[in-house]
Amino acid sequence: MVHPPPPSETILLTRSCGGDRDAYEQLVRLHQQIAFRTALVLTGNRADAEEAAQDAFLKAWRALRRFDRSRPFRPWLLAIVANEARNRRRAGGRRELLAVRAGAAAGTPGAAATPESRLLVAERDAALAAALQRLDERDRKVIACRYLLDLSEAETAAALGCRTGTVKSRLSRALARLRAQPEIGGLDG
Amino acid sequence: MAELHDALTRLGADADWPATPALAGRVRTAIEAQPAARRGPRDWWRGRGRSRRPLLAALLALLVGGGTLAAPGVGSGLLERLGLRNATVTKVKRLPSTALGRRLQLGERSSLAAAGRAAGFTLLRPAALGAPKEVYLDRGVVTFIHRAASGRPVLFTQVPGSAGRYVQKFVTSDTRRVRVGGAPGLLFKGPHAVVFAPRGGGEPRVQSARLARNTLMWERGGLLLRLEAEQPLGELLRIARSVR
Repeated sequence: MVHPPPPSETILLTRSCGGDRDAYEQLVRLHQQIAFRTALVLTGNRADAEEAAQDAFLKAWRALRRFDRSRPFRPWLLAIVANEARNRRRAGGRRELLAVRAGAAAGTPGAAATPESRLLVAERDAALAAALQRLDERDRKVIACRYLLDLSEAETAAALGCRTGTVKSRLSRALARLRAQPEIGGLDG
Repeated sequence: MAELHDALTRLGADADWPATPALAGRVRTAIEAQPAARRGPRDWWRGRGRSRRPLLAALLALLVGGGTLAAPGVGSGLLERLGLRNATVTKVKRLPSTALGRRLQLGERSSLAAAGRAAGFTLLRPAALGAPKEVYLDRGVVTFIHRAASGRPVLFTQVPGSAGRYVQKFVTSDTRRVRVGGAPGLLFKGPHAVVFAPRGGGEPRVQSARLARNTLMWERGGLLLRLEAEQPLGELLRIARSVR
């Protein structure tokens, strides 16, 4: 039996804007991971991130009629997620740093990689993770959004509540500070 | 430089991200449980009424209850909404009058041991209150009735999130965020109405409004916990912190 392909985001968005809750549920499913992870980077707390992402989807639903469909959906959604995340970030709350696994499974640069080269990559990733954790929060967030979450510059700007130009300059400075960390001297080519 | 970018991207791909919560179903449930005034993106009366799930009818019945309220969006305007993982509390101008004053509907009378067996989770108990005077069981929801030193009742309810229930409360007072042992909680005063909305769809269940003075809701270990009593906030928090 051949199943039809799932509807595209554009179709889901159009239907959602028309009040189709089934379509919106599918749209949420498409974006729930990036919304939750972005909120996690911004709040540093799993419970806050979950709540922020959930409420962001509810607010996005209510605001869909104001959404400009000629623009991409994800940056718009991430801006709402970021706003909810900022509202929930409590000064005294416990923060959980993202655990970065840099074990044997990390970094498999190709089928031809030897166990030794995989181990080297894993060690280097562990060092990189440690260096990243030592950066200040502002630097860590811009790097986390741009690289760990793999957001575009526009999406990073939406998540951080700044302009794309600011993302570029902030990222450049953050990477420079990261490269200055002694453990990763061999990575700046 | 490219090597550093690649390494960072790889780090993100290999990071131990916590499992993404299943938000789609919860968001859907919350949207359907929203009072009509905030249903968006289209106003509820312009929506496709025939596709409404039974929840809408129940909520409209709740909100328009007995004809004592004006149309949704007028008398029952939504003022505020705060959420926990398994519950939301919504501030409205007026409560549905139909439920007010009815006797509590807590389910079948049970014993502690029988409720523990039937509930499917380890029952928690507020140590500060001692043994419950009465135990009720209602489709996985367990409620204890305790007596405070003043002789007034204290209700302690345990709602398992894993049972797929989503609790929606409607209140008229301001709602405050609190922390109970590090977990997020909500505190509100006065009477309120409760809707149990099954996450996976199906018929929502409207529970009688309570006449509690203070209510504290918080989450712990997959359970939504609720304390309702006349005790002041400090006392409720003390009781909550004694829950084992």
